[in-house]
Amino acid sequence: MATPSTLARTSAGALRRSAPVAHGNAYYATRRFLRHRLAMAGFLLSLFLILAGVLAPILAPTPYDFADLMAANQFPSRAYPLGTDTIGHDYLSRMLYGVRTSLFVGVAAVALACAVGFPLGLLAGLRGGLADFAVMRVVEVMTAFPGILFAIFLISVVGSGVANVILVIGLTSWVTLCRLLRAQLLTLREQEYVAAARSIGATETSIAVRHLLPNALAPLIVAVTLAIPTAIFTEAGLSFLGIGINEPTPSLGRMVGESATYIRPYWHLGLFPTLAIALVMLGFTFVGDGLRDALDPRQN
Amino acid sequence: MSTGSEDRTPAPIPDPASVPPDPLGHRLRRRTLLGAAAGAAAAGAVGVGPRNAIASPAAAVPAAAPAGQAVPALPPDAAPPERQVYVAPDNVSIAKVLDFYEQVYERPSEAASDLFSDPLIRLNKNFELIPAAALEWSGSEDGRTWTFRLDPNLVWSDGTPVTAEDWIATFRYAADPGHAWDFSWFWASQGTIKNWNQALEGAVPTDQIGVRQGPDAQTLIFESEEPAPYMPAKLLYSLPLSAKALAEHGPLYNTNPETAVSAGPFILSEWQRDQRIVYVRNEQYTGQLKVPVNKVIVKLAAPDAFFTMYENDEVDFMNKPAPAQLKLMQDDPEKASQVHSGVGDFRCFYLFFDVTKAPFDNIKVRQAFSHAIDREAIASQILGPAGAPAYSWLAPGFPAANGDALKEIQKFDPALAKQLLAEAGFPEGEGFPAQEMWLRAPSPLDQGVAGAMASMIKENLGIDVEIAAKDQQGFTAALNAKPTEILFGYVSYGMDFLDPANMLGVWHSGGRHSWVNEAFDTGLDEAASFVGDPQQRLTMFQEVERILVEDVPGVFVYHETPVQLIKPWLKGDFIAPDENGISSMHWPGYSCTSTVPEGLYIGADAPEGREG
Amino acid sequence: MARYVLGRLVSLLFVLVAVSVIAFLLMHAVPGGPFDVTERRLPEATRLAQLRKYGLDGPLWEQYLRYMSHAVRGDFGVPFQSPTETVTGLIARAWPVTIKIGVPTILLAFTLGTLLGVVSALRQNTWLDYAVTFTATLGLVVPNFVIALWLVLLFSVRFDWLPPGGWGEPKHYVLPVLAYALAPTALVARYTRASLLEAMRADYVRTARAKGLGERRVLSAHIVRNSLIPFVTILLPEIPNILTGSIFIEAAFRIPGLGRFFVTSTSSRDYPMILALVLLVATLWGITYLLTDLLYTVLDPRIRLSGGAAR
Repeated sequence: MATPSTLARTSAGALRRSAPVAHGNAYYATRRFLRHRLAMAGFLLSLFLILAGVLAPILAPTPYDFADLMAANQFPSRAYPLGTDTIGHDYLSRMLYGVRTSLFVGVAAVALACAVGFPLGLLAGLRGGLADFAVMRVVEVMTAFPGILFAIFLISVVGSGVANVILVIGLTSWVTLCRLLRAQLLTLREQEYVAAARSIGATETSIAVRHLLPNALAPLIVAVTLAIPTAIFTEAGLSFLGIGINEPTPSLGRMVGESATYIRPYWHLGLFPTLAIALVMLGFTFVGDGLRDALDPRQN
Repeated sequence: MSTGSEDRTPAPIPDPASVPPDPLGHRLRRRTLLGAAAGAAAAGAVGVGPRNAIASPAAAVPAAAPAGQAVPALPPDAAPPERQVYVAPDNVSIAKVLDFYEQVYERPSEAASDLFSDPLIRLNKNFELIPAAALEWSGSEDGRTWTFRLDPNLVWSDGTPVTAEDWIATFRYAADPGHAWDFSWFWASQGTIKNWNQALEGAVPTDQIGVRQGPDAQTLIFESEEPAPYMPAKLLYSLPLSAKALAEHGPLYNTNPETAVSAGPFILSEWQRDQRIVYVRNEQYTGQLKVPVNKVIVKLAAPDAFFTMYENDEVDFMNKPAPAQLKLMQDDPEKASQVHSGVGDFRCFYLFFDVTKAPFDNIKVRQAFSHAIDREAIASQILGPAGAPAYSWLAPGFPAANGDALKEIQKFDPALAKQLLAEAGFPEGEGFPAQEMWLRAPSPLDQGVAGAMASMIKENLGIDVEIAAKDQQGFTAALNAKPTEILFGYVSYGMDFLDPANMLGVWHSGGRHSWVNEAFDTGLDEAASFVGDPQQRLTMFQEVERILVEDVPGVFVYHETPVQLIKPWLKGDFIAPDENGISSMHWPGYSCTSTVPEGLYIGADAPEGREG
Repeated sequence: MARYVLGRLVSLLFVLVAVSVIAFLLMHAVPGGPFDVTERRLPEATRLAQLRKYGLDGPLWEQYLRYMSHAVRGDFGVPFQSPTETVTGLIARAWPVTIKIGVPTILLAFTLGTLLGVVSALRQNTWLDYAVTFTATLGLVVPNFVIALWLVLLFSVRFDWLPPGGWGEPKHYVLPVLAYALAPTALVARYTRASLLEAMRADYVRTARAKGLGERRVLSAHIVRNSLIPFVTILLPEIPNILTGSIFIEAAFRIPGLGRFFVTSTSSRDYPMILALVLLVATLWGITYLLTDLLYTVLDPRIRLSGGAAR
């Protein structure tokens, strides 16, 4: 039986006790998602940003590391739609590549978090006993460790840069996913239909594969979707502290951070990256919210 | 040259209108400086006569001064005495202790520090050595023994007279292995105090070091291992602790108002950790400075916050605004006159290589880098009044500076850069490994300059450069490791004392970098300890600097002329143009090692509420 | 119950030891020591003397045991970044400042967040709901250092209503609390809305409605209850974070609190302070989660406590 704080800390969606997957649920879920106005807006926004990021090398007027120092500090104009920064980077190019970096870091870090968190969550949730005990102790320690210190330590040891930032964010954010999966499995194990399956002689493996995992999937999809903007946000914070992604790779977070000193004479340096980061976050968050509502079967 | 007693009258106060307010005139003034370079400095700092050894100007013995500080008469445009309060910001993270001989790198030194005692000598605004706690001094013929005659009127605020014993106790404490002083390297080479290194190692007791009393308590003698004609200049850092307080309350006595003792113009009155430090006039002060200000408040904050504080009239002064903040000031017609650029500590910003490792063991590669950096563009687009292009190590105005003669060696020439890189085997940068440029706790300005250089290297050489910002500790540990752990980096150095031996010593083998050049080492050692004709000594240094520039262990990028923002109500001689036409607070800032405290007063136009 | 709490406290003890060992190993793995600040290389003798002076000589395990044996007696040493006081003294002066910002932040986030969440839920899928949801999400996606910056530009630089920073007077609280509270407010609002909507669909509410209870009564009963659950679920776990301060907020508004030390202690390699901070946060965390679980049993009788370890 899960103890309260597991339930407490999982997202609202996870709290809902899911019924067995019924045929046609995917259809209803899709329909619900398509009708969810914020979710659709978020979806279109995310799609647009993903396209912008993927196509950055084609769309951007200049390579991300090209700077014309003599054209520094230009306000938006015909030649530079979003202006230029303090050393003469075309800001539109930096923004497109910045979105690309953010998305890449967000997705890669969450992938890493899944790769660590899900196996451990499965182990804890399915095996129970000693494995569960060990995994949960690690989770506890990770949760109790001040996150910012952990990130700074790791970055200081392995060095800054895109790959290391992904590593550090991945290694700090798997805990939520692991705990969520375990909590789902523990909750579902107590459900009547699982007991029924067990009573008719189903093996633990087949129960896990046929009953537990499919039902645990919905909240996990939501959690993973929402973990992406969180990872992007963490990257922004690290880069703001100057320990994230290295120049000349553009990082929206660092641009926001650096703009703090430049924003008054050069409003565009602060406004555009703040907007970009907010849009990326909004897009993924609304999609996550929409998915949560759509995947809740009781909304039929 | 003036003596201490003559200096007792307050410096003439210039008409505020005559203070050139235009920061853009800066470039012109720099050029004046270039011309003035060698001569001015040679006169004061390294005045070494061939025969009569090295002597200070004969100082008149001051008339028996009354105990206590004579408050100078305030000029008519000054605020009343109770409002003579100077308020400056400092970095909250660095305010750990308050005495130089406790921890040099961890004391607040941005704007107001070292106010608790007078050093033996101090610098005036033209960077000439003038008497301070020592009224006169002389060196032996071999340049190894230096005798200082102390001002007999000096007294600590607890009534104890200031004697040679205070310096002796201070230097013994500094050499004490148990103290592990963070500046111990300063006396460990170039004018090495006798037995200093042995004392650090614990091989001889600290009472054996070459700092001792002469025939009386007012005579102090320094002995060095090698001839050190620059010894007086180096003794700018000779702010003694009180021997009595040190013995009674330990080395941190000045961090607590209860135990604080001062023989300088101010004494600690309050230290609210992480918020503010308050110094008040030391009524017992009998030294040379006549200080109009009654109280100094240092507000502690993160440097990012200084500009907001300055704009909000919470502080009177700030150092090194970020480029965007500078622009805000310059664009505002009312505020532009508050922008001043100074010489700071003659700091040079430069790229450096580990020349022992590929690809930088190839001089053609290093030369290619040196020709790929467009300093003029960096200066005009990023630095503005904060710096001037550099093609050599010693900054204009520094003794032996030779910028004009060395200018062509590392000049900006992209075609030549490409050609050299091709000759080194990397045509268009092909096959050249991507580089990481290490930065040490960079400011927004450093980030901008480094970013611009990375794009220039990419553009002109086809080499990818990533910028890795490291924190102070991580960078320093890697830099100082032997062998060094930084292949390619960007950093700066500013003078410790006004002699080329100090600045050039950075490049001595076994020093900061991995570059080893025997001709440079021997030339530098020879010039440093040369006790003959000062002019000849400077020529020797110039030859040494040429070797440095030609072998390109570093690419010199700019000489800092740090910008200061100074409120119009800070008035006085400190801001009147010096001989080189520079009007700003001169290094080392508002501290007893310069004459700034004497020349600064608060005008009647200062707003209320700054003390809060 | 007592056994359960005891078990949890033992578990916390284990966490504290584990966390301190990890912190200790990590901080020593970071390149550069506390004294690598000098412009030039220190003489080797001085370098070794520094290590001796600050107890950094000898093998790591010895250093760790030395520190912990003092720490259990309440002596956390002298912070390298403030050698004129003790770690305990430093925390005792800086932490109350952070708490004084943190408590109003929590109160504001709770009241305003609940209010917005309820309004939004009651007007689901109206422009009001969308506006609240959008604003709440925005509050979560705009970093608080950006918000701090805009608040200062607006209220200090532009209108000159409030001081841009400083500490000591009531007016110094306004902007930091606003900037700090926005994200948790948004969090509470989003959560309140979601859980209230869920409650309105729940069977027992339908039953209540079916029994003929007025909509107003049904809702008011559940609103009270449902406003406490987000507090316990969402806000309580945030409390250790809020009460230990934000480096961004405290630096932006020049608040002499604890937040800055989470960054400066690592950048200055202040080992004694790092360990003290890690232990402080871990302890706070342990207590908060214990409280969360206990409160949860009060609020939701469906949940029962089981063995101390599993969670």
